Amino acid sequence: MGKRGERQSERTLVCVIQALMGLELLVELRNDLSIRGFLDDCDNAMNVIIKDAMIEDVEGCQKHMPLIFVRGSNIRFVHIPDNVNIMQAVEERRLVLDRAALAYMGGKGLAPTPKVLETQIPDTADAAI
Amino acid sequence: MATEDDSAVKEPLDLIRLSLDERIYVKLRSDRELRGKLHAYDQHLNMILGDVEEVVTSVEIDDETYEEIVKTSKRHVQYLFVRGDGVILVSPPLRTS
Repeated sequence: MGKRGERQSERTLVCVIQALMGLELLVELRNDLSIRGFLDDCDNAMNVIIKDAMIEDVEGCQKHMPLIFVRGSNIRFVHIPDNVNIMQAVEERRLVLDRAALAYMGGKGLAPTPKVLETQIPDTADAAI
Repeated sequence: MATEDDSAVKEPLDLIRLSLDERIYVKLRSDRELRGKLHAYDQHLNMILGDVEEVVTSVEIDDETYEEIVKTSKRHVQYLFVRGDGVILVSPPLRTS
């Protein structure tokens, strides 16, 4: 969770998929399988976890699976739901990540410096190693 | 998706930038073609297309006559994210009809 402008996901369109987390969407794979379900998680490589999924193959055979992990390289298309305002969703997620990054830094916005850590280690710690 | 201040065309990706918000033709692997409005793209050629028509072409060979039957199937999607590793080429739409 870096600062805005430093996040790797925001340099590609993966952040759009990540903004759709929690929504129901249709994912088409390279092997012509269609998976409809709720996007639980998406990482920077577009690997996704889909919950409550209905998998349909080319012949129309459907199968239900509660939890699926799909490697990002297997994805061909992601159907974005019609009623979603993408720009707003991406911006909202950015704000959430900004706030989370700020909270992680203790609200000060500064990473702990090595000097601070050294003084916290007692001299007798070497004996344990 | 960032707006560019410098609008000079320096590299091939800049040519795609010129097509933003325009209708484009995309040739994909597995004999697929897309025509839609380009909303966004990135360096991997992941794209977001709006009002998309997908054409899938398949060739079947007749068992008796051994002639090739070219079949196409079309479908329409309102808002589509296309993963870049499937993209072969991007072009302004070809007006053949």
